[in-house]
Amino acid sequence: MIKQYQIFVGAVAVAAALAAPMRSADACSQAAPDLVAFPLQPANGANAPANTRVWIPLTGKESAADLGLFNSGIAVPSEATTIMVDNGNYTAALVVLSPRQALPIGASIELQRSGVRISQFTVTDAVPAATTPPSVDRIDVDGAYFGGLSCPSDSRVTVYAQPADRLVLVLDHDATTATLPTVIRGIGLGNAAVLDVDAGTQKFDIVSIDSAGQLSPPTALREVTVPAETSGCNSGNGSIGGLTPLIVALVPFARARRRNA
Amino acid sequence: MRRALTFLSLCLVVASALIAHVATAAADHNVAIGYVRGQGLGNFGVSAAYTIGPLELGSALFARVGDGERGVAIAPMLRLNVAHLRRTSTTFASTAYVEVAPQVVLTSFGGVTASGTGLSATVGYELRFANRLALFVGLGLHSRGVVAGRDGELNVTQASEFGPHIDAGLRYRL
Repeated sequence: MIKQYQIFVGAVAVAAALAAPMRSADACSQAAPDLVAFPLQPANGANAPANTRVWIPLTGKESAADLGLFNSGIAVPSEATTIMVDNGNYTAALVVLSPRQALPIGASIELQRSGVRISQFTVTDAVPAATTPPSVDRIDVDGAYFGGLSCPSDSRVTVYAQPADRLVLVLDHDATTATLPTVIRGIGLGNAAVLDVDAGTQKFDIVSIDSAGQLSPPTALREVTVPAETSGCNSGNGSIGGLTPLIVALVPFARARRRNA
Repeated sequence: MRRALTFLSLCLVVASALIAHVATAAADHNVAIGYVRGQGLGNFGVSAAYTIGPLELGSALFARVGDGERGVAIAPMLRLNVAHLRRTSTTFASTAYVEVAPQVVLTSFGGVTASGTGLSATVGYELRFANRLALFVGLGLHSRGVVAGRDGELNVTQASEFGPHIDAGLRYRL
């Protein structure tokens, strides 16, 4: 005859088995995304203003020292700034070349990597300044899934902005946009994602770079709330520590029962 | 054949529960209120239930507060006391139970109203003391879909959840 406590113990065993991760870590492993997969800004063959900056994604073992601007074969004195892209899970870098002096109107400027031309743009005075911040279409805020019964996913904030052909940059709210930012949380053409953000309130600024290499002013502060992580092997919506008040409440009953025995 | 046996077993369980109830019904206090945690909904909940024979109908209300979230989860429940109030000593009685509870989450993430639904099933054990207090502990599984909401450009989603949970609670029978 099966006793009640045996049914209970059996249920505990089943639940414990279900709580164990069903997939190995290898099955869920993901390759790091290419955080700086965007075309050069200004784009190859584009027109750019005299005070343009050149935004270059870094790949592999490249460094800022490999890159340079040339006007008719003569090096254009430029300041190279390396910006970290840190979306919370992966890091990468990009380089911004800022000519120290205004570029001559009509000049054809070449971007060279280790002496090899990789891009060219023409300096004109017909390019309007980027005076307006990007228009944000949508911000998706997704809470993380811890895993356990299926593959985990990070919490994520994805910004979709217009024009869709502009580079979107997501910056921490305390980052300065008066000069070049030193860290970018997300970057991408038309949309940018920030991964693995903490649950709770997060504050971001959003800027864009147009095809002439101009950095826009930031949007108004965006404040989002990232939902708490969910899981497949949690004891409640919190932890087993939540049983503490009940265990404390049980102590007097346990003592009374011992006395009776 | 297998279905017939399963049906017969279920009938036996229900019949024995009903018989047990008849034997102990006089001692019942039909309304119970108290604290509850679990069902995958959190650590802070209040519950109320009404006993009808071996069945209990009730609902739990959980607070969902923290990390910018403000809301509640409502879990109406149907509990079957399998061996209703089997008296095991002079100071308390006990019963195993099976519980099914749909879930509705109504919450807000930083001002974005979001909602979702789910279902939990629990097997547990309750001790009822002579002073009308009752303690219960249960184990079960819950499945909840995404809790999602939209407000203008903001689209907030809390991931779905499926897994085991530990229920526990302290009730007082009125």
